[in-house]
Amino acid sequence: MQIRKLFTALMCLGVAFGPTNAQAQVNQRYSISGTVKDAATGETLIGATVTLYTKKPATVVSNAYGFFSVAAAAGQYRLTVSHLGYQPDTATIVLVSDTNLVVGLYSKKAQLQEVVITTNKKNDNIAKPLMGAEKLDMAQVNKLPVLFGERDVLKSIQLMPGFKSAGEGNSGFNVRGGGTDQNLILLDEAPVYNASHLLGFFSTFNSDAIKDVTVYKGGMPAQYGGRLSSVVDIKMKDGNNKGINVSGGLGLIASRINVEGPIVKDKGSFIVSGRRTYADVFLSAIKDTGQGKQTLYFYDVNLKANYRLGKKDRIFLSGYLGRDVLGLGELFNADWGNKTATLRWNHVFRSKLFSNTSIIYSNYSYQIKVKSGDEKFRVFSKIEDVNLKQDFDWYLGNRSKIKWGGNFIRHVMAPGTVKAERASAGTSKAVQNRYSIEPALYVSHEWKASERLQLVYGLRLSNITVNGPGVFYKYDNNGKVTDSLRYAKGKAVASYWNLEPRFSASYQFNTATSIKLSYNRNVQNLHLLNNATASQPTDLWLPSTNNIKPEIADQIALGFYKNVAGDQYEFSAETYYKAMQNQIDYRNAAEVFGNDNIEGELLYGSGRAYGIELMLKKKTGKLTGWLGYTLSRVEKKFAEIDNGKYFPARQDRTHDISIVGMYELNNRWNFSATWVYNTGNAVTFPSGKYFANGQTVFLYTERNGYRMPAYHRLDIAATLEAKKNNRRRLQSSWTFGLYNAYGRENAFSITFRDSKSDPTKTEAVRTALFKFIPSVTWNFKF
Amino acid sequence: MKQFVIMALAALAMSSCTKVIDIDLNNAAPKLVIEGAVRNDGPAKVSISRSVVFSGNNTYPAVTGATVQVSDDAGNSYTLAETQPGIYTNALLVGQPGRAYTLRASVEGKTYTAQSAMPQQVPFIDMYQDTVFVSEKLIVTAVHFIDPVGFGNHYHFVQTVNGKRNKTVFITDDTFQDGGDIDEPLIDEDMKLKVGDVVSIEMQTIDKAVYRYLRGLEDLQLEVSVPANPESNISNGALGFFSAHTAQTKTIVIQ
Repeated sequence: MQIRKLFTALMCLGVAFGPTNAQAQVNQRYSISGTVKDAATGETLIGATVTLYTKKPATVVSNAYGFFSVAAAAGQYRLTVSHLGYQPDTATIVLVSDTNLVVGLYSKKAQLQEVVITTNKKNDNIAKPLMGAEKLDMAQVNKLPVLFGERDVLKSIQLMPGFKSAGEGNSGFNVRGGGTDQNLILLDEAPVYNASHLLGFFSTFNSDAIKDVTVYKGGMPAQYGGRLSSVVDIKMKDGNNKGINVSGGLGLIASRINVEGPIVKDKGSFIVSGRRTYADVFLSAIKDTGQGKQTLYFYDVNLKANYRLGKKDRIFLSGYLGRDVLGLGELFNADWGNKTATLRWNHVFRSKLFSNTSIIYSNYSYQIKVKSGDEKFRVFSKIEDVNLKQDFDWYLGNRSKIKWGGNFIRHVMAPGTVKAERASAGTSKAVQNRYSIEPALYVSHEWKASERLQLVYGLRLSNITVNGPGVFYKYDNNGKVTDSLRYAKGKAVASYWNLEPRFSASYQFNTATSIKLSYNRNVQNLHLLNNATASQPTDLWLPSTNNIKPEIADQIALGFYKNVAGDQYEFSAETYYKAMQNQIDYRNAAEVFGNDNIEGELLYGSGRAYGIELMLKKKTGKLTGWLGYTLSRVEKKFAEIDNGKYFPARQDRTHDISIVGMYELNNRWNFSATWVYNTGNAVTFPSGKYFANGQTVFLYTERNGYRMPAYHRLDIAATLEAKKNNRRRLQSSWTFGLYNAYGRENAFSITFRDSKSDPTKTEAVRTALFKFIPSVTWNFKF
Repeated sequence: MKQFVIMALAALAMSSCTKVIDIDLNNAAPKLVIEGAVRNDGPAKVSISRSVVFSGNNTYPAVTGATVQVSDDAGNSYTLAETQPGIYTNALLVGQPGRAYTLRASVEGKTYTAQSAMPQQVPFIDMYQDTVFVSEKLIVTAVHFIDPVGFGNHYHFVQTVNGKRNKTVFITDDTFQDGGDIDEPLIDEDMKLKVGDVVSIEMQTIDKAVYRYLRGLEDLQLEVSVPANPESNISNGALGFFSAHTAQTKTIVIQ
């Protein structure tokens, strides 16, 4: 099935086709470097596999910018390029000098009727040394059933073993026992501090604008740092550089629009993507009180532009702006959200050295206006980062690649400043801004030691230094201030250096079987202060200080991987143990909000997490999907809680099952279903009650000593593609979904109160959300 | 932040359902509960009882035969006599703002102590009726007072409607409004006030430890954080709290 020539835009530089020339330089090694792209849109492809068939085939993977580089002696070779969701393709290269290529691949969808024969083995999962790394197939994400029909990458992630949802319908997630604040979520390299909208029910990522999502639950390479548990690396689309394209969707609670096109054809492109919810329409439909108008919506905009300045340079500018707005009459108005911007410059120094320089800005802020009586108060808080980053990829021959680089971040954190609008309302207690710098250096070596053994190992050196100006406090064991010290501007208050070794290896028994081992240490220098049980807009971050030590996690993992039936099925089993130091919890009734002595409210302890994750995936055929199972435990220990005994963390769930199935009936109808089951969260319930302050007060004897009921849910969806009409440009599809299809009343919370029917008794009340939530979305493209 | 939580729940209520369920809870061993108050407007009172298991009735066994004493930092000491089972009082002990009081209770050979300093009284200027819009129009009662300049004033409001005490904890402090001319509505979505209701508010100035205890109770009511026993200011593991506070009461009838 040789479909068509793959190198649609073959830009061989200085290729002199001549056998005599090639003969003369037979001992000289040359490199083939270039970029892998989508042939139809010009979008660069990340993680494409490029194999050059020398005596021992050399395989490399395109980097985050679609760049690759392989080397060989002069000669004539076969080169294959493949990528998830694309037709792999092959060409013959006559190598007589350093060569630069732009490889265009065709999406499989473009040729649905043809039989796909893969020319290279689809066994990446076996060979690649990185453990615990998963690449999300965005086409698949878009077919999975989701709450309210809003497709969501962060919720799709939660269907994989090791990733657990933070709660019903929530986009927050826990990775291998880590907290929801221990995930490094990057959007075009910019960290996103609060990755959810509307109290966690939606993620901040509009899947229309997303090209690639790679998640790491362990074995993070050394270029990533700053969070303990996981990395979610999200890359935005570059935009179609061939022609203008408009797509979008109309849904029950939100609509989306996406415009992309060339700036200069084949040289540069842009993409603008926007989304707005109208959930408040439903709210006001329920209760419209005139003056008590309720608002509740969010919007977000993604922007990106790139331009190729000659053959060796490319610049990218990307930005994100998202905001949630919530209003409760005059009484309470709040808005919050993230802003990020990234300016990047790619440069190829010779064909083996790739450089990327970035300036990254990230901001999360919230503003709350409260009307209390005649007084209006305004609360404002933000965290703002400016990050300068330099990365190099050096292709040291076909078996070896070195990445090194560093970055320097400046954080400014302004924790909740309160201002009254009228002077007579009094003065607020000042809460100081905190200033810190976070530099890091890393080096990582990817090495194919033999055909069977591959390694990725590296080292990261990280630092956090919190600086003045400001007053810093010392606290005793009860959290009382014992001393306060004033620091001048720029004067270091506390500084912590940490070395973070990272190691990952795979040993291949044969093309279908391998084992992998990894060890990594991760350090987290920013700490989320939130004692609530759910993600809140008022999330407050603080750097490591004289009181708060950097959080440290050491994780060791071992895995077994087996592909069967010609790589149609993938099986994997991974087991891990993770030890966490300097974990944070709160004293009872901690005053988190507007408290300059917040550090006195913190408790420091340790944690441990371990488990086994099994996954069986079917990758090809009409029916695809996977079955995942996790058996795990996560416990924490604080001297001040339960007399220093280990207690289960909230997210400790013994069993966790997810089943995902997608069925392609024909080229118009697609069906999908997901079923999830998990042991209930560990929770604190009362074990008794007493009377104080005129009321029944519940008595708690141990932290997280109880369990919520088991959680399970089935979601289904069907996608109908409209009939293809070649004369029309408009293509459209309908997606129908049903969330919680069998109407399980899963407990969102269980609370306790005096009985309404019998005041001499107390009772437990279960609240369940989202029973049978249907959705319909119309998607279009022209 | 309370309003925020209310709002969030209102949003979720779009498709939520609640149900009373049976749940199997452990039975904690009975614990001693002490609630003591020294007031500037009336006799001191200390109640001593025990906790019961969750499935039991809301009747709490009184602890009788205890020895209860309160002393102040001016050298005075008072013994409180058991006037009803588990209730210990002394009509002569009327608190004075600015004084620190120490409670000492001996129960079955164990002694429990607590300290509380009575803050200065802050004039309760006015109580009035107001309307706020939460998820619907709500009649509320509001308080008006002027916070003295200087951080560290804490207030507790006890609302009584037609003679029945509202269990919602209403507390505030001057963290964001030091020296302010303060008007504060007491908002409780479950308390639907109607014309003719007789509402009274007792305004208390309380010390920091008591404020912290009541904050713990408020957190439990709001269900926002991991539930935990409020931080008691009584030694030896007793539950409850001891508060020396000023009190002023006003009453209005809803129009």
